[in-house]
Amino acid sequence: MTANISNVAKKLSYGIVAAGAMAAAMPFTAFAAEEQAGIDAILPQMDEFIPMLIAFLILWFVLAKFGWPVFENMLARRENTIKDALAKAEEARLASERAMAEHEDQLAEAKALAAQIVADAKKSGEALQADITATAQKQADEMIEKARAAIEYEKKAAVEELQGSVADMTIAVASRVIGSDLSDAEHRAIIERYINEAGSFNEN
Amino acid sequence: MKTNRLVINGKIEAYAKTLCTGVFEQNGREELAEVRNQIRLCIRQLRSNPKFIQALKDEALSGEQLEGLIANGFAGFNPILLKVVGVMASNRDMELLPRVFHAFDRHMADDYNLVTVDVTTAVELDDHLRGMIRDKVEREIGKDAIINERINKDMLGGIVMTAQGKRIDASVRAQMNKARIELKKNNGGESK
Repeated sequence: MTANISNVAKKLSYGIVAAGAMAAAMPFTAFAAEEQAGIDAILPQMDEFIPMLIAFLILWFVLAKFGWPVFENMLARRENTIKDALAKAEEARLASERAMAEHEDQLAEAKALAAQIVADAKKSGEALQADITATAQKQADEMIEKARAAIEYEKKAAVEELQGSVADMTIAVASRVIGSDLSDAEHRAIIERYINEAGSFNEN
Repeated sequence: MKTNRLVINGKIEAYAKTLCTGVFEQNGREELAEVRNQIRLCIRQLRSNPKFIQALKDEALSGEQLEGLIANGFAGFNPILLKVVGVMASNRDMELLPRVFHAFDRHMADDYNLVTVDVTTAVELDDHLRGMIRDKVEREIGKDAIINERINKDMLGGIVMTAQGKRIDASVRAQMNKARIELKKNNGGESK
């Protein structure tokens, strides 16, 4: 494109040079009008008009021949370039819209997924909290039950120990009374009764 | 020397049978109970005197020396018993004496229809009570009883009888223990 522009510039410079040359070839006509007056002052002088016309035609021809096609090509290329750019811009816009739509879909999916995750987490948290609470309650109940059983056991052991001590003391007193107070005859009476009432040798 | 069970049992039977027969033929039925008591006394003395046991196990002593030790150690005992125990010592069979004692008991019952009844009381028995005990043994075991009496004040009262390994504990102390156990058991039940 740069080469085309330089080519056009080169051709224009040729036309301008030619027109300048034509004007330089007839300098006297320009000064001739200064000597006329009245209506003749505004009418073209044929001796000036014809060279000017020729120069104009030459200039027109040169421009029409060399300048305009180049300019037209340049405009056409520029138009095509703009059309391509517009088409690409349209494509880019469509692609962008598609990407945007896709992105919005993904965003919506992400939002839904996040909401689901939050809901699941909340649900899990609630279930876990309920589980922990139930476990803690169960452990507490077990501890209380064990403590009650231990207290009951200790209480029972203490009562039994006390009763055992009372029984031992009672028996000891009774034994002392029997051992010291019975006469030999009473002892023998007891022996006689026990021989009759005690178990048999065949039972053992 | 290695021995087996049958050989040992044969020795025990031989010692017990010899002793039982010899005592019966020499001294009659009543002496059997006395010899039985002397065997038991021998066992107790041997258990309480480790030096005596060590001397009886001395390999350097001859059979005659061991019989002499027995005769001196158990002076006053029945001569037949001393002879048999002396033979056991010379044969290095003194550890069999407790089993000989039981075999002697068995021979007394089987061969001479006699059973020794060990009776423990807090006061001395009179003839009436002895007769009752003999009647009970004859009625329940079917053999004549020889009563071996022993006094023990700690039993508080009542009577304990042992015959042929069977024991009847009718002492006051045993009754008291039963009463104490029942008392504790019943009190425990009420506390619930």
